[in-house]
Amino acid sequence: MKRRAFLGLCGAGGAGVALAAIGARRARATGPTLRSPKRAILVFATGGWDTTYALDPKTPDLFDVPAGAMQRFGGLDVFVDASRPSVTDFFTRHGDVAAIARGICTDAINHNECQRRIATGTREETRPDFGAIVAHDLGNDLPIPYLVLGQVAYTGPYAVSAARVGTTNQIVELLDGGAPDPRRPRAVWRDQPDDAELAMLRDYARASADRARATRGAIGYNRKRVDDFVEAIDRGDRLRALGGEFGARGETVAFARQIALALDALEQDVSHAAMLTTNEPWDTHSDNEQQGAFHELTFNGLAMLVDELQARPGRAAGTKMIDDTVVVVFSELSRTPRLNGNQGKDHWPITSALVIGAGVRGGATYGATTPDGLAMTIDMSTGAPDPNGARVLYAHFVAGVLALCGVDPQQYFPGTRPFDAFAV
Amino acid sequence: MRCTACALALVACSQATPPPATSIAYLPATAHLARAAMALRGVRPSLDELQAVAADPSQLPAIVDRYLDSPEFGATVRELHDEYLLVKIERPDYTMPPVTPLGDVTFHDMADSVYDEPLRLIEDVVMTDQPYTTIVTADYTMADRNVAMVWGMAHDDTDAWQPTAWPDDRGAAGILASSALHLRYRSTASNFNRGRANAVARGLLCHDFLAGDVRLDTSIDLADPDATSKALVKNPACAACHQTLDPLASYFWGFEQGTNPLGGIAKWPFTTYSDTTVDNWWGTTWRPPSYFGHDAVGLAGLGQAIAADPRFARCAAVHFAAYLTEVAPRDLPAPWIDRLTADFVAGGYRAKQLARAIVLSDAFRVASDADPTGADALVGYQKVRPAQLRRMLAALTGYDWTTTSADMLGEWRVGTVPNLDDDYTGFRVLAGGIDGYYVTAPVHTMNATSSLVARRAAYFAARHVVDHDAAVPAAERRLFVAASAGSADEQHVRAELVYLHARLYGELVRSDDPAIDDGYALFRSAYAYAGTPQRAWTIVLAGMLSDLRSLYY
Repeated sequence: MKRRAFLGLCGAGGAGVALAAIGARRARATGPTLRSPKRAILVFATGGWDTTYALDPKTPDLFDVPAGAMQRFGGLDVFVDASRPSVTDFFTRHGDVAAIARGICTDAINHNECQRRIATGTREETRPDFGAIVAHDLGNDLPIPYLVLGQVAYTGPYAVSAARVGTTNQIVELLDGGAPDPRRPRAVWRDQPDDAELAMLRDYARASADRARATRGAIGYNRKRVDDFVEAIDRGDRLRALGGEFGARGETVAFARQIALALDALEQDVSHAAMLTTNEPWDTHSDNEQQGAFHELTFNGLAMLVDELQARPGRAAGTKMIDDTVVVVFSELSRTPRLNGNQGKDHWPITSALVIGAGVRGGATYGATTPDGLAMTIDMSTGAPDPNGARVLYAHFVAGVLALCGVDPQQYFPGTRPFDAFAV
Repeated sequence: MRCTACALALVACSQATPPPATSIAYLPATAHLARAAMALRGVRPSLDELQAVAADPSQLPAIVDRYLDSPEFGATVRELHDEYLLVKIERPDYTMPPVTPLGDVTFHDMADSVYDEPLRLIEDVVMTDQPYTTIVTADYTMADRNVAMVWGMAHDDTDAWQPTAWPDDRGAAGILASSALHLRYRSTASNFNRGRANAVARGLLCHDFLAGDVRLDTSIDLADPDATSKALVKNPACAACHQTLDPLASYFWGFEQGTNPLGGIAKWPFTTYSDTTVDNWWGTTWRPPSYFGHDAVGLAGLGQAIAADPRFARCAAVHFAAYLTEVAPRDLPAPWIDRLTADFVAGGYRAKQLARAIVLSDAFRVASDADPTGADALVGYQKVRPAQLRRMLAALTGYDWTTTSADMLGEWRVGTVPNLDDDYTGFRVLAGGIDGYYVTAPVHTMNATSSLVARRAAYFAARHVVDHDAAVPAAERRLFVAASAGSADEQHVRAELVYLHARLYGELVRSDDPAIDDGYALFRSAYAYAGTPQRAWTIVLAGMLSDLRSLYY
C-alpha cells in the first residue's frame, strides 16, 4: 500500500479530508482524562506460550525450565539463551520501549474461552476485542479500520469496520489489480462492472437504503444493518482500490508478511489497528522444547516490527510510527510448571504479555507471579505487588490497553480499574 | 443485549394472550413468507406462493409445510447444527488423505464428505420425521461413497448419501458414535476425552463446562499424574466440574486419542474406534462412565440418557430458534423457549414441527419497533448466510459460483470449489460465515469483504442468467419472463422489473411504484452507457441481487 495508492484513492481533496478527519478524531478522543489516541498492532500467539522461555523467568526448583538464564535489560528481567538469540537481540535493542505485563489471569483452561477473554476482556461471544474497539473508536473513517490478518479476532458489533484476509489470503482474489497466483490465471474474474457501472450500482444501492431508512430501517438495530450495508459497499470499494498490495495467495500468511502488511496498512492510513497471528503451534502438550524455536521466530519478527516502527514516519511531522503506535503481544494461556509424560506442558491460566511502543513505560515489568507461577495481587496503577491489591484479570488488562491507546475504558468496562501501570 | 430478550418476550407473550398495545410492527404476510422461505431453505418464494399468500394469508402455513419437506430445508438442518456442533472444518491436518481408490477426491470434497456424516444423520432424522432424540440413539448413520470407503461401510458406490451402519459394535448412539465427530474433537494423552465430552455437552445440552471460571489450587502438584487424578476426584475446586465431566468423557475411550491420528494412513478402511480401549478410563481418570450421576451403559446408554435429559429438548429449541431468528441464544426469551420446548416434547420431538412453530410465531415475523429502546434490540433484518446466498442465486439464476484449479494442495487436488461454501479456498468466512475452528459464529451484518463477495457473486449470476435466458426459448427462461433480455422499451422493462421484484425481493409492486422507478433509472443509465439491453440487464440484475433486499430478509 504505497502512499500514492492512498492518495489515488482519496484524491488530493480526499487526502485533506482524511487528514482533517484524523485531526478531528484526535481532538474528540483527547479529553482531560484520556491519553492521546494511538494505533494498535495486536500479535496473538494463539495456542499458549510458555512464559518461562522469556517473559517470566522461573527457577528449576518449582518449574521445568529450558536451558538459559535470567538476564536484565534495564528494568526487565528476561529469560534468555544462546539458542534464542532473537530474544536477546530484541530486548537489547528495544527493551526501552517494551514493558512486560505479568500475572494476567484468564481463569479458564480452554483455548477458545481463554482467547475470547484475553482479547475482549469479557466472557461474551458478541463483544469486540481491543483491536476492534481501538479501530472503531479512533479510526473508523479509514477504509478498513480493523485489518484481521491472523485467524482469531472478535469484531462483535464493529464487524462492519473489520476485514479478514482469509486462511489462504483469499482477499487478493476479490481485489481489482490483485496479484493473481500465476499458476491460477482467472481471466474470467477480470470480467466485472467498470467504474461507471459501479457508480450506477452504488446509486441504486443507496436509493434502496434510503427507502429502507424511511420505513423499516429508520432506527435501532435495523438502521444499523442498513447503514452497514451502505458503509460496506464504500469500504469494499476503498479496499478494492488497494489492488495487489495484499500479495499473492498462499496456504498461510507468514508472520513476516503479516507484519509488512500491517505496517503498510497503518502507515498509509488504510487501517487503524491490525490483528496478527504468530502462526506457530504453541500448544505444546508434547515436546515443549519447541517453545524455544517459536520464541526465536516470534521475537525475530517483533524486532523487525519495531525496527520498522522506528523507521517509518508517524502521523505528526517529525515523528515516527513508534510514537503513535502500540504493539501488544499476548497469548491466551501459559504452560504448566512441570513437564508431563510426553515432555510437554499443559494449559496454565496465568499468562504474560508484552506491551511496546507509544506511551509505554518501557524497560520495566508490571504485575507479578509467585515462584510457583500464580498471580500475585498488585496495585493496578503501579504494577507492584500489593497484598491489599487485586489479581490482574483479563478485563483489567484489556481495559488498561484501551486506556493506553486513548480509548476511555469505562465505556466498555464500567467500574473496572484498568491495569494501565505500563502506560505513561 | 438483555433488551433483545425483553422485546422478544413481549412478542412471545403476545401469542398466548391478546396482543398488548406495543410499538412493534410485524411483517406483512408476503414478507413473512419471504423470510420463512429464506430462513428455512435459503431460497426465495415462487411467484405463485407470493400471490397465494397475498390473496389469502392463511395459505402461509401450508406453504411452510411444503418448505419443511424440501431438500433445501434438509441443507438448512445441516447448516444449523454445524453452527452449534462446529464439526465441519477444512484443515489439511484434519482431512483424510487422498489414498487409493480415493486418490482423485479433492481436498474440499474429502473434508466435506467426512465431516458431513453426522450432520447428514441429523438431516435424515429430521426429514424423515423421526423423533429428534434419534440423533443420539440411531443404530445407523449416513454415508456417501467417500465416507463409506474411508470407514469401511456398506454402500452401493453411487454418489448418493444412504443409510448405513458402522462396521463394528460401537452401539446405537447416533452422532455420538460418529468417528467424524471424534476426529474433529480430538483428545490428547492428558486430556482423556474431556474436550469431546464438553463438545457433546455444549452442542446437545447447551451446557458448557468451559464457560465457568477455573481457579487453581496450588496445593496440587500438577506434574504428578497420580496427585492430579486424585485431586480431580477429591479436591472440591476440581471435582465441581470433573465429577461430571470426567465420567462423561469416559464414554469416549473407544475412540482414538492423539493429535494427528491421520498420519500414515495408507489404505482404507481406516478406523478410529476399537472396543478394546473402551475401558481405558481404568488406569487414567479412574472414572467409570456415568451421565451426570446416572448410570448409563456404553455409547448407546449415553445416547438414551441424553435423549431423556430435559436439557436436550430445550437446547434443540434454543438452537432452532436462534438460528432461524438470528438472535443470540442467550437473548432468546425464556418463556418462548419454554413453550417451544414443551410443545416439541409433547409432539414427539418432531423437529419439523419445532421449526414450523418458530417461523409461524410472532417472534419470527417482527419487522421493526417504533420505540427507540426496543428498536436497538429488535432483530428486524436477518442477513443471508453464505450457504443461503449460494442456494438463492442458484435457484434464481441457475448459477453456482465455483473455482476450478488444476493445482495441488499438498496431496490433494484443488479441483472445483464452491466459493460460498468453502473457507480454505473459497470465501465463506469473508462472506460472514464460519469455518468451525477459528471463526465459530457468523456475522449477521455486512462488511467490506462480505460486500465484495456478494457483489461479485451477484454480478456473475446476473451475467449467467442474462446469457442463458437470451439463448433459450421463452418457456425455458429462468428470470426473463415478462420481457426478454433484449427488451429495452419502457413498458417491457418495467413489466420485467415488477416480476424481478417479486422473485428477488418477495415484493408485489406496481409498475409505477417508486422502487420500480429506481430499477428503471438503473436500466436507462446502464443502457445509455453500454449500448446493449443485455449489458443493461446484467447491471440491473447485479444491482438487484446484491441489494439489501436480497442480502437481508
